[in-house]
Amino acid sequence: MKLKINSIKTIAILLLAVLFSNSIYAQAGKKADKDTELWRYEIQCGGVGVQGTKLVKVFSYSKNPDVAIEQAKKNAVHGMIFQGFIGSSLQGCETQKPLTDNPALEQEKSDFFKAFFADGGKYMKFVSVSGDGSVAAEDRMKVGKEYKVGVLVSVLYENLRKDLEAAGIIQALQAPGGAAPTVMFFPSDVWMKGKNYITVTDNQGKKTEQNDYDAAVKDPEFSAILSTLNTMMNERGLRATNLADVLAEIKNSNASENMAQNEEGGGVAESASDKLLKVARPDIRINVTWTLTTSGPKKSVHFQLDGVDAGTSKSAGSASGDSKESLNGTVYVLLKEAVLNHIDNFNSQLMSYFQNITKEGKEINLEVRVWDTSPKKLNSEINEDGDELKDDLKKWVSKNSVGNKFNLGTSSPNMMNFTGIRIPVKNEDGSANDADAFAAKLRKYLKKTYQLPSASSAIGLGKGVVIIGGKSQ
Amino acid sequence: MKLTKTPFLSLLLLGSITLGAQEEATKSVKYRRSSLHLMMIEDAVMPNANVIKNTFIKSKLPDKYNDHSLPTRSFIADKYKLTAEEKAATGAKADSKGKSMMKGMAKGVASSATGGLIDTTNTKDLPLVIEKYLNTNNVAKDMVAKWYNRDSKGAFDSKLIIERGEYDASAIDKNVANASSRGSSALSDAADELIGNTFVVVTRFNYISKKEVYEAAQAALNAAKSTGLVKAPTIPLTPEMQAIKDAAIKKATEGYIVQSTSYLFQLNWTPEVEATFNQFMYTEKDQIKDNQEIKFDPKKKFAFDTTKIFTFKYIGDGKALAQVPMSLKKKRSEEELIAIATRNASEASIAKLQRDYEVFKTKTPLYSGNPITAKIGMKEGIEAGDKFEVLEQNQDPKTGKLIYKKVGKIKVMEGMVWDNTEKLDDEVVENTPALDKDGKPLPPKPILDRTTFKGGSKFYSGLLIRQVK
Repeated sequence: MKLKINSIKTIAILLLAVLFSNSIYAQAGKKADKDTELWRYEIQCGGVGVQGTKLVKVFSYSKNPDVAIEQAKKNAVHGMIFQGFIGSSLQGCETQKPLTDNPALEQEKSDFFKAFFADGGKYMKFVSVSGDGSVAAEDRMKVGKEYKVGVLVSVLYENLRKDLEAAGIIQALQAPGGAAPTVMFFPSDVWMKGKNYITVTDNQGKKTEQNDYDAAVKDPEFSAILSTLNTMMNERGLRATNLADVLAEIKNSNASENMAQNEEGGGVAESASDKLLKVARPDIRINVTWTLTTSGPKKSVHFQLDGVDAGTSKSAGSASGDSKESLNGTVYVLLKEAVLNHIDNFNSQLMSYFQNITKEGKEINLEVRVWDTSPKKLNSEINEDGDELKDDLKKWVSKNSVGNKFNLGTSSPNMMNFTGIRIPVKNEDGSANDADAFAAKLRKYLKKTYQLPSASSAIGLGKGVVIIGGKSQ
Repeated sequence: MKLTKTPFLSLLLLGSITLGAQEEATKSVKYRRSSLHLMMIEDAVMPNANVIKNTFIKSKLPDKYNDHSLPTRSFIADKYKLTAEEKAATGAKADSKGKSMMKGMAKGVASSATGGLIDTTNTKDLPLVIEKYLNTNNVAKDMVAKWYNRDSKGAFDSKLIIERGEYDASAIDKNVANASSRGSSALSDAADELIGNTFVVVTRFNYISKKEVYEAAQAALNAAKSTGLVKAPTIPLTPEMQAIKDAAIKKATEGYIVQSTSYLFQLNWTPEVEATFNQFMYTEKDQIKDNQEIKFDPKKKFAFDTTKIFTFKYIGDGKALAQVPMSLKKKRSEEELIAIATRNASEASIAKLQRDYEVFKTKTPLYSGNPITAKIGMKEGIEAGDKFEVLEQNQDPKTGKLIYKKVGKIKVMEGMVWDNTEKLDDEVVENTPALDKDGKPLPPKPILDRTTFKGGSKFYSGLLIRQVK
């Protein structure tokens, strides 16, 4: 009987203890949630995370240091959406903008974020405490009556961005109409020359140097970084055309005709990259350069990405920086780290440029020439009002450009140079528009309207050439 | 080379003040392994000099340190006596900084604490003599060459630095590396910081008869009595008491002690020295590396061969004693007994350096508060019973100033020391079960991934612990 009473007592004590401890945890949780609701935290870069992630150190506040550690995950995700972080040369990272630049987004989408950041909410899918959760001594401090604890957290940034985009919370990285730019990476001329990936052709005593891209794609470092860059771009919704694939395509499909030098273009030589661009037709060409610097056994990489309009070579964005010094990292590892560090900001610039050209039109140049044997010259009158052919050409270009934007440079009876023509990014059928297509359209107009034979071609993607009377030769 | 000395006593005083207030501003909480080259001063006239020397050279450095030994482990101090000019030059420097008084005080305290009564050798100039030896023989340069794995042709590489950097990496360093784009190659990036923690410890051994110590002490006591400073006992001893006293004295004065005085010198590895070395002296052998052709540069080899930029700075000294055991269960030769005492004295002097100098004190954050665990172990020389103080970083909400306050003391638990000496975390260790006295297999020991402590319950992860003994 006595044993029974004792057992009941023990059970009662245990029950009370469990209830009491639950109550303590519940209170701690409530307090923690209160702190989290106020979003009292500081976020800083914790290094360059692996692909698709951001490594951040989050300092959270709580009267219970263990709770502060748990709250760090929530705070880290919140930080990446609404705060971003400031770059740190010590950690070797660049400033990261938040996923939204709308400061009122949290209020506007309060229902979504309440559920998203609830205990056990969706935020947990995008964050993990790095490693075993050890807290560095310098990252834990008592401030007054509470604790400030810094925890290293890895945020699955790319997945988080895609999820918020899919939910319509943040705007996707794309231009109006859902278009995203196509990009193509090239090793820069400087890098090609440094590596001596150059071929020299002798044309009747005139030596011409051309980049040997076949050699570049066989370079182990370039090949590796090219593959990484293409993957990164595709992950971020930009369509990357692989230089190696284009080179292979040209070889396999005998597309070398497209690369033939334009004899009719007045002897204007195309560079090797222009010829490739004509086949691949990206919106943006990105030149990649890097240099390896050594200091004793340590090495670092300086890298540069220059995004230029594939048609006009106007700048669409750039990023450059130095990796932290390393004793043991390969050039590829350092280069990848540097690219990962800058790629998001760089892509933002490219997208901004692409959104602009989608709205304002893609810029091209057009050169119109007339052969001596052409039945009409540019100053030939075409109607009773005394309008000349060149007047009609100006009207045609104006009508076919976005916002009637263009400039007329040199003009003579045998030549007209149009610059800064803004053409739609896409044709009516949805295909990519470019200088070649624009010149072909003019050729067809001349044939239909004036029965004038002409030839059209393009130099690279940005310059169309129409030679009136060309086909009769 | 400029001789700078951090007075031993001043360090002790500083330590007592900060600990007394139970708070201090810790400049760096990052513990890094130190690399040591242990040397001894030869004394041919000292009894059993050869035994002491051979034992010293064969002694194993504690796991806590990187072994940075050079082939030459001893030298004869008499060959490096200071000239009058050298004495004058160094004396002027010391006086001009007002350190001579502190030096004297430090020596006085050290002597009285360790029975310096019988050591009549003039050791005042010994740090300068050692420094002269180190400079004359380019020891600093040889230690740099060892760090950079210099081969017989003069080419360097970074294999040793990388290896030690990876070994030094803490659990937190590994966490960061695993989550970062750079990956495990990041572990060795801070390895060159280890070079700054390179030390030469030069030990002078003194083999002393305990009887001599007693007689010298007795003589000093008698002298004090004659001056009236010390009063003689007023109660006369009975013959029986006198016999007991004599027997006790006889037993206490049997045998010998080995006294060791260790002089600590640190490699001057400043950013300027490192930059000069990297730019003008570092050259690797002919090879293709990182897709680039590397050519050995004889000019850089010459620059290293002829440079004088590598030096040491004198940190301080520490003394320790070890008795030559006279009554052991197993019968041992005198040589063996002296060897044991030499090893003990040598270990004691290293332990003393660890107690006295911050750079040698193991520091790490607590991994968990309940149970009390930390991610350190045998690699850091941790043994059961080792004591640590627990420090909590406090930030003044108004000024933002950070200080560490002592909040407790903990001790390493028996059988709960993590063996983290293996380089690879995922290395599989063959575990043959131990047998009990009846030959039956004992239950397997738990595989530890952290060291467990006892001593409190209010601790949390991230609190700094620092070894005190």
